[in-house]
Amino acid sequence: MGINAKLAKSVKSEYAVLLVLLLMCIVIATTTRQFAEMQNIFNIIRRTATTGIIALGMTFVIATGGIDLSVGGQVNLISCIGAMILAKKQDVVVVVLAMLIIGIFIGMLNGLMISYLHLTPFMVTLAMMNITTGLAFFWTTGKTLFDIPEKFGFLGIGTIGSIPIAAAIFIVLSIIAIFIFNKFAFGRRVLAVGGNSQGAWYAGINVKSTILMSYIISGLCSAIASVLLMSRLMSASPSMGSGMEMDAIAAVVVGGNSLAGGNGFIVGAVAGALIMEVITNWMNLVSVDPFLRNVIKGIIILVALIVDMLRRGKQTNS
Amino acid sequence: MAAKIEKLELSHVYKSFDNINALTDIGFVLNKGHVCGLLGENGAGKSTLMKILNGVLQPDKGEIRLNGEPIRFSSPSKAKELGIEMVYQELNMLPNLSVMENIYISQLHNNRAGYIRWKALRLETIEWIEKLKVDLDPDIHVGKLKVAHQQIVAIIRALATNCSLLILDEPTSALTAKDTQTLLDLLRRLKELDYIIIFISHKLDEVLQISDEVVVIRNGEKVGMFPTCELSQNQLAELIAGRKLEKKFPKVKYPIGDVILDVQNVTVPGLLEDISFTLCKGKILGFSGLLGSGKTEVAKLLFGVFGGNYSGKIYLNSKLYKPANPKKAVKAGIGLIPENRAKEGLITSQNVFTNIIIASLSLFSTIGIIRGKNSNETADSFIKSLHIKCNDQSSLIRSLSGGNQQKVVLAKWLAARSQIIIFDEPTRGIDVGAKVEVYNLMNDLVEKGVGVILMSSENDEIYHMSDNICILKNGRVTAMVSAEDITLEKMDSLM
Repeated sequence: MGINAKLAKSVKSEYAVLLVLLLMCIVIATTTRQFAEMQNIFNIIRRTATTGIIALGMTFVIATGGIDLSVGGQVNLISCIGAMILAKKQDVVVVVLAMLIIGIFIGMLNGLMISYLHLTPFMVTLAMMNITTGLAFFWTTGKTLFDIPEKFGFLGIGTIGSIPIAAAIFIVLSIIAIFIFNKFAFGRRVLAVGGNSQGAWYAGINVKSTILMSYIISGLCSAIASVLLMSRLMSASPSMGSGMEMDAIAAVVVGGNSLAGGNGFIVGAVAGALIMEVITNWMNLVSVDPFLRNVIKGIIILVALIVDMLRRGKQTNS
Repeated sequence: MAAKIEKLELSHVYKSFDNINALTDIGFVLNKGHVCGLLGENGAGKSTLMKILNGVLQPDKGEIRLNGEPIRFSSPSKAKELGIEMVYQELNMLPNLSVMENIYISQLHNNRAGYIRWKALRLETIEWIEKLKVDLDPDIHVGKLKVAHQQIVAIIRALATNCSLLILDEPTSALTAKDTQTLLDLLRRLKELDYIIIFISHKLDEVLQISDEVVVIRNGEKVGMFPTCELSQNQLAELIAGRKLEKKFPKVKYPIGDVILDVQNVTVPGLLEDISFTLCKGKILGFSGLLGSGKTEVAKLLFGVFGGNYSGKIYLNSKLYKPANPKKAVKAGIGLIPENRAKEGLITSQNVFTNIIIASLSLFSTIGIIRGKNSNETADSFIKSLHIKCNDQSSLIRSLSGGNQQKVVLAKWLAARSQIIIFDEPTRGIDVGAKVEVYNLMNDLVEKGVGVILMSSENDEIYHMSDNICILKNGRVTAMVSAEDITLEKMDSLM
């Protein structure tokens, strides 16, 4: 294929989101001096890691045709519980493990109610968002917890060589997620359930356990993100995760995954998370009016949806 | 409102997509009060031609004339304005609205304030019901009607927009014999009322019954336009396929093996009553009966769709088998090629590869990871052996024709090494040539020792392809005989 044809093909494919990200970075780097500075880039990467990891889990849930609005609340609850345990028992490993288990547990509750009780994902996870955030506020009495030992900061702020650990963890998890969707039988089952859950059932797939697993993965990812966030900020507050569910969903959709399910495009979700974070960073650097920031974020999401719709329109037969 | 169409003329119509010729030099004339059958294999160009008449596509070359005047359908709404309407296979009804609302949905009478004039709506609906001599209640929710009646509503909906040329796409594929006759009677009424009707179907006997002439299309070209009085079904089938068709039903007899499936006194509350039958290797077991007689229910029961909600015993290879869910059925080695292919047989948003291995993931994975080479090669080998027409295994299911999609469903069970495959209405909506392919595939399965159960509402299909026939009526078995011991007429009487 000639270079023009190749370019045209990649623009029309789902990988176009990477081109968008690249273009965006180039434009911003040339117009805003501080963007390309090492410290700034590292900050972007660290921040993207937390929403990005949640977006990875969210990709699984959305791929099965569901949604998980509780991830932000999970971050609130899990980090506050983690901080409270850390204040009593200074063992980092134990605390991290406990946080992961709580995430898995909350994900399991979501998944059981959705797949076995047949309740709608939107409502179940909305309720769970309220419950988790509420519990976080209740147990911390609304206060931010700062009693976090130095050594905990390693994961969020530390680096291996010149790469932030948070980024390394994010990259490794992303690669695992890509592998799962492409090479694992579980990945096929997720895509089948999201594409046509009845057809998947008729093919002998255990639809309920597949959906359950996707929410457990989302919970686990929320827990990992909590660890990194708490480690980076060296504090835990009952509202620090609020809103992350929207950012994660935006990242997954901007990346080209259909909300209706059936797509497991991890690269897109990662690119989507980066796009959202780069835009936020730029708005910071050029001091965009704080009240306009959400407006701009919202417009980006709409543009991404329209572009994705146009791209899909070209692929499906009419 | 445009004048009534009394004559439709196509001359030298050409259409191609990306250098592939879809239609070449198509021309014919239709007059009012005529029913014309449009026949051709899947992919011959019938839907392209209809889309041109509909205004969805524009011809590259050629002329269309209505009542002698050349017309350009710039858009679907222009075609509707001129009086051309189409009733699709998928009907697209609004089940939660009433018959009259469905009929007039696109033109709900309203005065300037936007209110609906219900009285006028009901009166006009009743006018149509009486004019066409059909049996419908204007207020009943369409969702509560059986398919045959929903179809009549769809037809009236088309007629109510001042239409004079009606195109029907596979109208009888989901109808019982009785309902088909009701529909054909309606079409005869429309003939009397001087409508022009184009009837697209694979059911040659019905086409011959109702049409005045037929247009046969093959590979985008017109084979010819023939008055139906001069043709027999066999001649028609050969014209469509373009070759002398070997036996319509390639039945082969194989040596009889052991009993693989033994169903004893099975009852599914409300659906099946005291059903018993056995399946042996080497013999095809056919289930016959009207729509709703229980054929699909037997298939679903064996496949675990009803869960534990049944009484009676089922033995698979002499071992007790409890079909609790499809997963268990698949594990036990049973595969189902369902009636509703899109919803139950395939994941249409995925590609051919995924759909072929989706029921046998554990066979193709080690510790949860799919063995790429092994699975890809298997998928390729099935694409080859079943002659599945697609670009390659990464093609989306959506891009395949109905017949090829059906083959993917079969490939799925072959990949899962099923020992019994149930075919539920496998040749519905599939053209004559492709049907023979399906029958040959069934023969291959029997030869390899796979148990084959066939459910069909086409009696001659059951009669010719089965070794043993089970006739169902209202969920009960009315006959369980060998094909040699019964005739088509007797089958009809027992249904």
